[in-house]
Amino acid sequence: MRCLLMTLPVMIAILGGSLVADDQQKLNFFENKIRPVLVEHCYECHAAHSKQLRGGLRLDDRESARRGGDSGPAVVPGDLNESLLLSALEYESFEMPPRGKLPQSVIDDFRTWIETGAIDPREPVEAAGTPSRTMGIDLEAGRQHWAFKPARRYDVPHPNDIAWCDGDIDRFLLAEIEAADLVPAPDADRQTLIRRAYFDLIGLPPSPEQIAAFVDDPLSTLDAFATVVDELLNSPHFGERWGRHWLDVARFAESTGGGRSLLYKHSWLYRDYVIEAFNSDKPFDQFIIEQIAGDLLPVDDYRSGQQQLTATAFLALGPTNYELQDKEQLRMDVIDEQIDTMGRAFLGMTLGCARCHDHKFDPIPTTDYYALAGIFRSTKTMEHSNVSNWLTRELPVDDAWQQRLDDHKTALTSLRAELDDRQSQANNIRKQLPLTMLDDVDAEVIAGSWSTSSGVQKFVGEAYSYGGGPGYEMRYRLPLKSPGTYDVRVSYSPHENRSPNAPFTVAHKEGETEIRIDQRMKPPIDELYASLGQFAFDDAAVITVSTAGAEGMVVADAVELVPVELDTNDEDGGSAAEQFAQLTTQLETLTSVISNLKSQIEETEKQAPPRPPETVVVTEEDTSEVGDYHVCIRGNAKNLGPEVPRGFLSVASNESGLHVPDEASGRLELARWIASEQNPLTARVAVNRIWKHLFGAGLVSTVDNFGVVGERPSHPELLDTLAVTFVENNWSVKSLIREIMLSRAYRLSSVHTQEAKAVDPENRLLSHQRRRRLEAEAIYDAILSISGQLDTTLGGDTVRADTKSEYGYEFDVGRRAVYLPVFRNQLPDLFTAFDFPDPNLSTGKRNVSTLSTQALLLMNSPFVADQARLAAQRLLADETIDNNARLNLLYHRALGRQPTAEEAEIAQSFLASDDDIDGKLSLDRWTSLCQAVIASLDFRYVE
Amino acid sequence: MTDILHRRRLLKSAACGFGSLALAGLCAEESSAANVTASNPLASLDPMLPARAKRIIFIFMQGGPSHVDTFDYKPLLFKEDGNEHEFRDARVLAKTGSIQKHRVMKPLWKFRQYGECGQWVSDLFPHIGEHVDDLCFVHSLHTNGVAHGPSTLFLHTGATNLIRPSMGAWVTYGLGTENQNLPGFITIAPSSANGGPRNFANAFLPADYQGTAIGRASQPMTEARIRHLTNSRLSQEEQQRQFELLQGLNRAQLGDDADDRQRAVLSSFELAWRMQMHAPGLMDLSEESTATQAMYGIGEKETDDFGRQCLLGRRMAERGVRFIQINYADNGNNPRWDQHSKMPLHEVHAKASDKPVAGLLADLKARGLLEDTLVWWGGEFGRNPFAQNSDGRDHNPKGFTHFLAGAGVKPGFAYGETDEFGHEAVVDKVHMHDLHATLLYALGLDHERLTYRYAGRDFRLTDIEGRIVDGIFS
Repeated sequence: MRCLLMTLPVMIAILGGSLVADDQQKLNFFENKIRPVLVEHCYECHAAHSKQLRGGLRLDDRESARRGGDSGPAVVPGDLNESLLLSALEYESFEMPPRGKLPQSVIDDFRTWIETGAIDPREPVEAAGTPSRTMGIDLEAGRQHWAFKPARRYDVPHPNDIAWCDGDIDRFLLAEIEAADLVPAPDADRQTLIRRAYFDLIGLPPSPEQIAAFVDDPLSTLDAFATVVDELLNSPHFGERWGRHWLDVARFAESTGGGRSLLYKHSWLYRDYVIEAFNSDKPFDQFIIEQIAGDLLPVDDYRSGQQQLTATAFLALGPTNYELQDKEQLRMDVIDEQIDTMGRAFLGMTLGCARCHDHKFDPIPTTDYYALAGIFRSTKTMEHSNVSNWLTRELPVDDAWQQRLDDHKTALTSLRAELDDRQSQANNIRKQLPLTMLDDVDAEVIAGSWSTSSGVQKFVGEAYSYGGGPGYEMRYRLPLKSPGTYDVRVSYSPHENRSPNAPFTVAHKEGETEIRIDQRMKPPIDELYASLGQFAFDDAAVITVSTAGAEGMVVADAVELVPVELDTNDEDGGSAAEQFAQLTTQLETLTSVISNLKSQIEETEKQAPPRPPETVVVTEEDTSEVGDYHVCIRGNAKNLGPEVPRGFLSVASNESGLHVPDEASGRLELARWIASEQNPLTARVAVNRIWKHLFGAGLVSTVDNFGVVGERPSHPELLDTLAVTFVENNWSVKSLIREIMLSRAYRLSSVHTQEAKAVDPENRLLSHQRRRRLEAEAIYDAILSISGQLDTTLGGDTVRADTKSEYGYEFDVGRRAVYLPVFRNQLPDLFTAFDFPDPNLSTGKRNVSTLSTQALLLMNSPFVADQARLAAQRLLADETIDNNARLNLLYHRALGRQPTAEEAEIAQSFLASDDDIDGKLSLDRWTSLCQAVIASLDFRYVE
Repeated sequence: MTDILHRRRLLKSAACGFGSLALAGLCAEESSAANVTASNPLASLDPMLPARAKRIIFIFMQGGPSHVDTFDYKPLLFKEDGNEHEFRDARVLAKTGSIQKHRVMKPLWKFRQYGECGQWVSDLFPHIGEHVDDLCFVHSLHTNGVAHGPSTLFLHTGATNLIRPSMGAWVTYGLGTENQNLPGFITIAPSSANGGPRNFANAFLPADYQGTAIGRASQPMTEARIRHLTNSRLSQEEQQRQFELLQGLNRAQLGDDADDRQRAVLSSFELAWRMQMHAPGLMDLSEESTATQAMYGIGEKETDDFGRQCLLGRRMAERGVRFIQINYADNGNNPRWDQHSKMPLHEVHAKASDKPVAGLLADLKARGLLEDTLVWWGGEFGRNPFAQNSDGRDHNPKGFTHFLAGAGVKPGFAYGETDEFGHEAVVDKVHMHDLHATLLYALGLDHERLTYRYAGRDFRLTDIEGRIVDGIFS
């Protein structure tokens, strides 16, 4: 049908003659009704000369309109359903034009036009730069970019001054320095060096004693320094410092951020996992695999199981607006965040760019992005509800603990099974009892229009009736087989709007009795029934409920008569009564067994062993959603293009590339592909990050971007050689750090010559070290070490137990900065001021800003003032020393050095400028001085 | 490692030979700070285009005030009250993709015409009504997101879920600020919920452009302060002495090889000191006459608090603060104007804000500040013309009203329309991206050129969207 219609205009043209007039008419229709509308409402965004072509669609010539844009053909002559232009005008597929729907008459014109063959005389227009749907990425050309080529070991160069070099790193660097006709700076003096090393390795200042021990060490500087480096690498504070570097990249946080920021509660476990990974020198490839697919790895023992599960929080801890109402959008946003963070963190690639179109700079087609998206769509990250939830799982525990959990579970299961058994026995007996029950649907309404509802639990049958105000009455008439005494029970669903005095009237042998029930209270019998009392009846019981004199809503549900004692019946020779007595006895026995079992269960539940801690995870327990996914055209989650097989980055995969098994998400394969020594990016990116933290800049200065717009490495051969060595050393981070720190280059002074400044202003050649500003955490920890308040406890949950929300959270003072909770919408003031990275974004290189808010904080914040006072008290506590010695001590604690003569003079004159004797003013003065030293330039810099 | 301090000044100094802001971002990120002269990232910059406005006062009505009960008069709602009609409700669509019937609910307040222009305003805003001849209503706004968090972030940052700088940060990045003794972007009493600080954060822009909060939502304005602006422990003289000590030590530490960043630290202390001297004066409303205070409703129980915010906003405008946000907000997940039930509560919020906003408009006009100050009033979305629960309205991102005033927007004018029920914008639709583009344009900024390169890509407030709504300018 479609083919036939499509050829209609052609047929018309061929037939010619008599139809020419019709053709002309159609042409006129186009010129009068269609073209002006296209020009006025569409060309701005959909023509060759549009400032910005939208959706890859051009409507300014016939062929372009028929070919359509990213979403498919816009005009299919004769086919209204396939013509996206029409549904867009109708505001069905798209909403075009965006400023407002066109009048229906205009849309009808388009309908007519398309229906009658979409006659369109417009010839192709040459676009300025012909837009194409894909940018036609040339993967072979892309592979020529340095970062996609395999890394290899290079021969170590032979610089002239070989004696200057302490190792291969120095030889690589010196060769370039010499080539630029520069000479390296002198070595830093020992007190400068040890301060640098302490901050670099553990993020804390050396104590005056530690400084003295190193400065006075008779060994050569290199040997003495090696000892210090090894000590610091073995310190548990090493992981706190270097783990934090990784937490920047992992955009770690303890709340979700987004609109309604929720507490993750368990994410500190991931923080501690990272710290422990660095302390134990976990091979970096393993570290990568665990974070991407730890849940899919075999578990050797419970400890590795704990670590592997906890590590997957890397994928789950992103900033997410869980309240986003469009859940498909939410799902794709979370996947995008996972892909983008993973790409930046491990590969130094900006993969997120390929969500909407082929990457503009790097050889990453949008199909690669959706190949990865398929992997992450096959993984579960959250449960959806109005505000969706992330997932948590209990950690594996040691055998003894697990045994206790299992035993307890077994005990409970068997008790519960027995209870079930006994209860069904009891129910069977009850069924044999001459019980009588009447639900409200079968009762007789005497007055009022009772409403029915099933809104509040519990009730009998399908629903219950309720009424409020005067004029409601309902009567239950229950015929009885055997006369006797019965317990009369009524059911109701309790609620605070119910009547506290619902009147029930029981007509019995002795007359009528009114009983009022408080229907706000939970019914005592099975949470369903309340007893009106025991009454004697003959052949029937009549119970009436009304609203007379009742406040609130009166519920009328079921009435049940439970026999207590039956009269001996002459007709059956008393057998009914006998049987009844027998059954009641059995029931009594069972009831006591049941109640005994219930208390046993309760008791056992109380003695439950503690549950294992929960951790935030991603999971693949439900594999029903494993499968490939579609390209989302222009990143629109609702506009699906072709399906793409799950896979990895084409440009960084060799021909034989791994493939994803049908039944698996491919996440584990992805993790292994990233952590493979064959991957050209991973080891280079990791080595470069480590280098950055020791020299202030990476060999590739754009540490998160190894793509085409990233910087080229300053020393490509050194970077490659280090990367190869890193892999050969089993991806040992500590070995690499040690090698770098024991280079001569690391130990150089940060003072540079005029020549160096002129030739190499950015110090890319590393002819000297870089002066670096301390990070927020190091400033924070250093302040606490001067005041003597630093609590060096390791790890643990540090969010105060009663915390419901991050808003207004007051941060406790004492623990190292790495343990302060990281909330996405609330950080400690000092963190915000000193460029702590936005925990919403993966950050490999922090900003270093100089702001007046930093100055205000250092001058006026209660935190700094308090710590300055404590630091002053600590100095004044030792009465055996004089102010000179105190000043020395303060300088050593704060700046790792003696005051200069000029500083000493300024400080002494400040201290001396009052005639205080009683000590109070002296403490104030020392407080001011301590605060000024904390605020001073040298405090925040490492030379 | 390079310092971000000088990044934006590269534009002026053209140290890298590029002219655009984006490249300034790029080249500062990847070149040395050493070859750039130290300069102030907040220095006032010339706009890219002829500017109508020098500054913006944004009055944020958090929670979504109902346009059909305030400024968007729809007589049909009175006629159809109680009747069921099919509506493409945004929340139902997002969750189920289906169209359902809803019960039309008429506005709870009477509408009347005001001013020469005769625009309709409901009895919720009698004071603002008196100013309609200065107002330019945009009745055809629509936005992204359905829940508060996403839509509030979209209003402030142009993104529901991605991490983007706030509009105020973009504006100060593009224009700097006129008064170096005060921050360039100030938000008064901001909410900590629904995105909280992200609504005034710089995201990946340099930290110089982050908004400074004065006070916080739910804290009485009389207690509101800029953090760490004053020192409660030292007397003025003692602090002066300490400051001299500090700068003395700093100068002594500034070695022969000091770099620009180190010198900038000394300047940052000087600036902080000046701010400390000037900003408290800004906060001192007792400098204002009783008549002025009364105009804002200060001293009256219902309006005192928000009146103080509005008056403070004017004082900032006067002193050249570039982007001022006044928040009618709290810290709840269901913020102030969020009446899912009990629409009559709108009256409480209207009472609290009507007179202060009217006072601000009158005061700005009287002082000539309305000439170059653009006042912008609105919430993250509007509300539905049909009922939720018995007497509430759910969120409506598909059509709602904001108003603008001053700085060359057409006075006494209404732009765009919603459908006859007031549910969806249909005529001259203005997407939130468009409004952002238009507001930047009023400030002389081209939204397509106000870009910043981050993570290998040029970002802008309006993403790849946004068109300038010419029709609202005189």
